[in-house]
Amino acid sequence: MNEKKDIISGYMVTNVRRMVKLCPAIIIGLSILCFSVLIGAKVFLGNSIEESRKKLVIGAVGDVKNDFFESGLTALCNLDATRFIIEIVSLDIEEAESLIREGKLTSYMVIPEGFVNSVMYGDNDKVITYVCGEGDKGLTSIIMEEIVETFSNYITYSQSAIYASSKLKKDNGMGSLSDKELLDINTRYINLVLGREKTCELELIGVGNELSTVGYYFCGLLVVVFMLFGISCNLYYNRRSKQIQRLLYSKGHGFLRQIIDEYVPVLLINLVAALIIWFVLSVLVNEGSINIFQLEMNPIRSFWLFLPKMIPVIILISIMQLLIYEITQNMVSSILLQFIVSISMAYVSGCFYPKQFFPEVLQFVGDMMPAGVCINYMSSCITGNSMFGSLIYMIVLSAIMFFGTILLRQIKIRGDIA
Amino acid sequence: MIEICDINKKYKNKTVLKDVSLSAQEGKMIGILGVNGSGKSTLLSILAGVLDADSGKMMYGDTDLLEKNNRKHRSSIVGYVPQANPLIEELTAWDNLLLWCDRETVKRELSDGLLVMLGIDEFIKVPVFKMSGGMKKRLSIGCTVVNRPQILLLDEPCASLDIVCKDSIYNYYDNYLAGGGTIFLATHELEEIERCDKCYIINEGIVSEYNFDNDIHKLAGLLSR
Amino acid sequence: MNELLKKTRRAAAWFYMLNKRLFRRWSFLIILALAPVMVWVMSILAYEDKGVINITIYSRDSLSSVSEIIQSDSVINIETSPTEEDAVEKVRRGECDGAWIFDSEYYDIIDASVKRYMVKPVVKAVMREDTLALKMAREKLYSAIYKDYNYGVYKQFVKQELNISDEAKIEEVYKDKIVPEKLFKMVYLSGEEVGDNDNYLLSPVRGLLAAWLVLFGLVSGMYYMQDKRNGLFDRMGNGNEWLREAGYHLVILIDAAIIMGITMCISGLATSFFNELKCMLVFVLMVMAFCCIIRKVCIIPQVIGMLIPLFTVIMLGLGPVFITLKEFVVFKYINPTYLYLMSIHSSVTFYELCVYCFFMNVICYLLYKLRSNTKI
Repeated sequence: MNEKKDIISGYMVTNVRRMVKLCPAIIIGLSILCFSVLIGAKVFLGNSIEESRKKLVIGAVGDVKNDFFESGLTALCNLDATRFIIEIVSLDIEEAESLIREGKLTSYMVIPEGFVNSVMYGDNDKVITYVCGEGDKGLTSIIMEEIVETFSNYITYSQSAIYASSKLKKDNGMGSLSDKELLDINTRYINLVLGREKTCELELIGVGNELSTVGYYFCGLLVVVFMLFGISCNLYYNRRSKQIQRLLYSKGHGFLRQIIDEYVPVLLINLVAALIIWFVLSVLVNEGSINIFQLEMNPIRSFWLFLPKMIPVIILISIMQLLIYEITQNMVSSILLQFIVSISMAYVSGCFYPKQFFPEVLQFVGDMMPAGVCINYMSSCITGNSMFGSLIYMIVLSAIMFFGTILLRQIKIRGDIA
Repeated sequence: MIEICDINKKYKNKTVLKDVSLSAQEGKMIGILGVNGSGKSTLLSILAGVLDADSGKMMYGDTDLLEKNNRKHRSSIVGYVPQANPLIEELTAWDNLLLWCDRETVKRELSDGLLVMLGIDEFIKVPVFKMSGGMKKRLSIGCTVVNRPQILLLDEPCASLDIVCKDSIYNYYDNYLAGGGTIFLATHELEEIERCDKCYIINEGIVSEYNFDNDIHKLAGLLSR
Repeated sequence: MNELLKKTRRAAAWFYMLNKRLFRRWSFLIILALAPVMVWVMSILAYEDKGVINITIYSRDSLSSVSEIIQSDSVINIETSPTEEDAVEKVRRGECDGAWIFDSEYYDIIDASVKRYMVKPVVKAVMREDTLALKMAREKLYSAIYKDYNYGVYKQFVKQELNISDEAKIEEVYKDKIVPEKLFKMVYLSGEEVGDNDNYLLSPVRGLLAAWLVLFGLVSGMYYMQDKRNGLFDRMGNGNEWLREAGYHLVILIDAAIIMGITMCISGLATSFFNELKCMLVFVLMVMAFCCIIRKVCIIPQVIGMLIPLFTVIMLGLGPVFITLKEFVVFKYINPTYLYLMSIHSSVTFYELCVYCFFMNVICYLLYKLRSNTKI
């Protein structure tokens, strides 16, 4: 009878011991995960920083030896605004296909024979084929689609003006446009296209205290890693014995108590995992691979001050893992379910694509999910904005999932007895 | 005549079986006794082809059944019932039987054959997870014997079974031996030991023949030497 | 011949029974059903209003270029602000990625610019940080403004060089000569045109499903180890273990592949039936070999469970699922999904996938040949 009233019960101690014994294996799994996170962070977050300086390399194949085309290409590569985001190289078709497979080329354009003449004479019956290097239509293709459409418009608008000028001259009995006039109007339009960025004045107001892109992905990456860590812990979760749970219940060790006793070691190992992950990421921040404005001042110290604020996130995610493992105790099904729930939740909540990419309905759904609310909360912690709302919602979610776990346990145990 | 000659087996640096030799005639039941971890299951696994011996032979007539070339022949004449019940829990007895032989054979045996003798016809449509221990063991035996092997290897078949269940299995033994089959039986049950025609004791990998003149109740002392 | 027929029937019986066993586990059915249901919901919601980037526009007057930007079918989400301060504040608060503020003397500035052969700004773009997506969005802006500059240059030219001053006539002829043609078209590596309805939100679906299928392969290895430990295959002896294990993996992989095919059709990402079938077939065989190798290397099922997050990061992070980065191509041979995802639209990569599949199966077979004894 006295056992029931102990804060630390024998069952909790047993579970902690089990977790400690499994620790080396779990830590190895975590180290593997951290190593992959290190690579991912260096490339993804580092890439995010370098994004503004990164160029898409596009090949030009086909009728590229045409003088006009070569001049245009040279102008594009050296004078145009897009020279900072696009690099165009002339290639053979075989070279282009090979380089795409090696990943050294983003895509290529096929210039058909006689394209320049077709444009100059206004036939417009030849079309440049832009070949995507990606599998399905992804973000890079979308960006390029927008850009190529604008270039198509520059050419066709200019053609409209030149034809209109020519018609006006003819209608006024002055004959066709002379070579000098054609050169003049073409030059004006070429200068206009090349100088188009001067039509817009740029004003950078700075990130201020809002979250930068790097900071956003940093939060997303953390959430994904914590969720995937649950799969590594299957060693602990799947070796819980249903027979022992029934026996405990028969001896008065109720479901609430059982869940608490099983949950405490999970929380402890997740905290250990958080420490290890933080250490890895603080190394990256310290060496400048990750640049988060709000954490720039003494990055390691900032991180360790930040870490206690992460406890609600760890609590929520570990309770979610416990609930999933309670839904199905079969090892294989539980791992599959962890994966599906983690990845789909991470996607909809904006861990891979920023959530503003999604329609409002999905953004709302994503914000309501545990992963989404964790990202919002962590963003608030970094920027110093109010996190009260997110925190309250996280507490409510945690409570719902916690009692859901207890209810499931009750159904499983008492259902059997009945 | 079945001759098992000089079977050796080592796990890492530990000798599990050392020059194990047994013999059995057709229609006889051979008991293999030993304390837990003595190597009984390892020996049966080797004879069943689950494990490879480091050296040794199992002569059935002129054929060494342990040779890799004779694998197919061995699988057709040797039946193995492991200690755990290798059944698929979600499937019924009928489905589990179909994994090991064709539909016509199962139907035939269910009408008036071996499966009736083992009482499997009474729970043929019951899923395995709903079966008792005895039913699972009988089904496990049924899955093996339905193909009528000439040599039967049984690893503690009657552990934790009730008297009625054991009785049906013993009746099956009698029927099987009367048909000319040979049984190698690893067991701890005194009743089964008494039914054996010959017994061998495995002690730390070394086999010796058990003399039935000894009082069976002094067996514990013999096993621990 | 009889022997072969007997073996085939036995293999078919095992295939059927193992499937039956899987479909009697409600958790397995739910997991199989989750993928198409989630993708179906996603495919409905993906066509709602959305955009890669959010831009707010302020213009005192009603401008044609502003109307063109707002009405264009683009991945840029455009909204309008009542005041300039409101637009800037939205950017500051992070509600929008950028604000485009059109000058109140828009047309006057254009006229003045074209007279002096100088281009002056008519729009102010306010942003917090200049990203690739914002650069892309500005190209859209330039294109819309260019139309007005283009007309201004034309007007200036005909007045200055051709001495024609009838503005109504100038405008009428210009509108009459609008060139409607598009000079670019987008295709995949296979030559198939990129559809207008292809949605960027659904583009990771194939990659996610491919990773999901690999995961099924890995867990089939765990199932196999469990069954082997329980002695299910003891009656078979230890001959032809490679074939047995490959067949076991195929049971689950075929189920997952069928569901994946159905899901691809639901999402609208499926190409032709023959193309999907041939790529899927080779992919399944390759995954089977890959998972057999992993199974052979990992001693206990829990080790495979521990490696799953690593494989997840490799497949989703280093593969062409969310973003294609050229740094990741070097990992293509350790990422089981890379070649499959690229082979859908590229026949050359499909041949590469076939060769890779062949070598994976050879390595798997050799590994089994060198295997040590199993333990009880």
